[in-house]
Amino acid sequence: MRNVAILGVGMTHFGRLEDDDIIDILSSASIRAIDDAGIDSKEIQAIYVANMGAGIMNHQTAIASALADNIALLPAAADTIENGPASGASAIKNGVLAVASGYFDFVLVVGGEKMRGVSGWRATDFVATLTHPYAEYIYGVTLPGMAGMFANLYMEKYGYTQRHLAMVAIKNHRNGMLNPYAHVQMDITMEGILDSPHSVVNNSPVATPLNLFDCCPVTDGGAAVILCPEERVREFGKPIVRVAGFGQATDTHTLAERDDPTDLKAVTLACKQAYERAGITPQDISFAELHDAFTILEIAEAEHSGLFEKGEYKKALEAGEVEITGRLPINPSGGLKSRGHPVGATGVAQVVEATLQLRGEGGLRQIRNAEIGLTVNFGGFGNNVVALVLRRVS
Amino acid sequence: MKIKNKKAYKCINCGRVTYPKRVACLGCRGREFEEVQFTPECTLLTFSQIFQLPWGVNERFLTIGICQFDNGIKAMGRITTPDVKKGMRMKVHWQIFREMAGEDVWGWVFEPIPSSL
Repeated sequence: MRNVAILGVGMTHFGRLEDDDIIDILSSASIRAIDDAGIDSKEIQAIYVANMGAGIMNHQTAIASALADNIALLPAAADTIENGPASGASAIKNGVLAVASGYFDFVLVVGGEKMRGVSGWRATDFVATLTHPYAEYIYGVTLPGMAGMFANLYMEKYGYTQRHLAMVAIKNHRNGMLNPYAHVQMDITMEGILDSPHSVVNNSPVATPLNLFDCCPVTDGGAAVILCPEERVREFGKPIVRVAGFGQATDTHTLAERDDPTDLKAVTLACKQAYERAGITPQDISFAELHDAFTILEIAEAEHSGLFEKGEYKKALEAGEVEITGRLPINPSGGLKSRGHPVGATGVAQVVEATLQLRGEGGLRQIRNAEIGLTVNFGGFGNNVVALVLRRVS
Repeated sequence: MKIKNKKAYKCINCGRVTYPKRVACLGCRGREFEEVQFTPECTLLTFSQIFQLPWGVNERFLTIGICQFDNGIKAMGRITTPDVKKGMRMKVHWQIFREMAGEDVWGWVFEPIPSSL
């Protein structure tokens, strides 16, 4: 197997992309990645498109074929990868395997979602279709509802309060203010979302104990990477960012059936595999992009990925250790909380951010001494998780 | 609507209880099961009062929780009131609780037993 590197990255703005359909979004992100790589697009042999909901929300299927046509990549092989909110990292994993195996040299992986063309009720229902159809979905449960039930247990077990959740939101909004691609460009304060009498209006409950600012927005957007064998990166004069390892694990479909519903086993296993394949330990990680669709998930993933002991993330939040300037920055991009969560795009956007950080192209949010980055893309409610380790190669 | 959520199953090989039904046991991959009855009462493990609801749910809010039945089976269901606490004892109802695409939907509805906390 060959080492695989990221040759180019590209993103659309995340937000409400009113004039763009799903193919426009995928095309824009792809063209930016191709241009960033400096590659002649005729060299691209395969395309993996990460998407969860075009068939339901946009009434369009077979979007990988449509994309290949629209950006003139014919006759490249093209597949759509659907793995719920972890579709992005799943598509990257498949692209990495395709290059590592030697079947293809240049692969485009692009994730995208067009979610704001439907009402909030429809988007909420669409995402809820990933829950168990007979044991969860029928009751009207939503993903915030699943996260609320999880948060109730996790907060009690490990001593977290709504103040800790708010600290995650405030940090990620502050980071997002430094990210020109981020959906929510809004600085928020503890006063505004928790302490003042107006906070109940500003930060109304979505699914107890989670409030509005504990939840990611519904977002349109796309993100793309070009993968190639590591030994070919120098031909393009680009810095080498290696996909050093990946891991993927599944867990029970229903939250209720887990022996301990607070134990995100798939996160732990996926990260462990990724570290082992990369030949590192969690202590070697310089920064991480975690799947904070809900603030509680940043906390729980940080503690299940081995970056922090269980219950210890609160101390890191309080000490500023996970700020951009801290010892171990978490979600320098603003995370899903601020950058937004176009579900199929998120896993790819995490890798785009990690690549920019490792290249030293993070702009105002650039962290110091970025050597090794971790991304965690959380599918379902933790029933399919993909972790990736990216490493800068001198 | 086809009812697929009323029964739990116990693996004949290893005894692990599974709900909802699956083809192979998560414990031993066995494929033979026997039915297990749900108990008339259960204990509330966790819940959430959900205010932003999906399309097709015409309520102002819902309270949904996960309960453990007295024989160990755990299941999600609707709760009749938001005025609940973890650890509360609940009475179990199997009933129609909504309509989807013109069809009645059956499932678990949990009702707090007032004296339980």
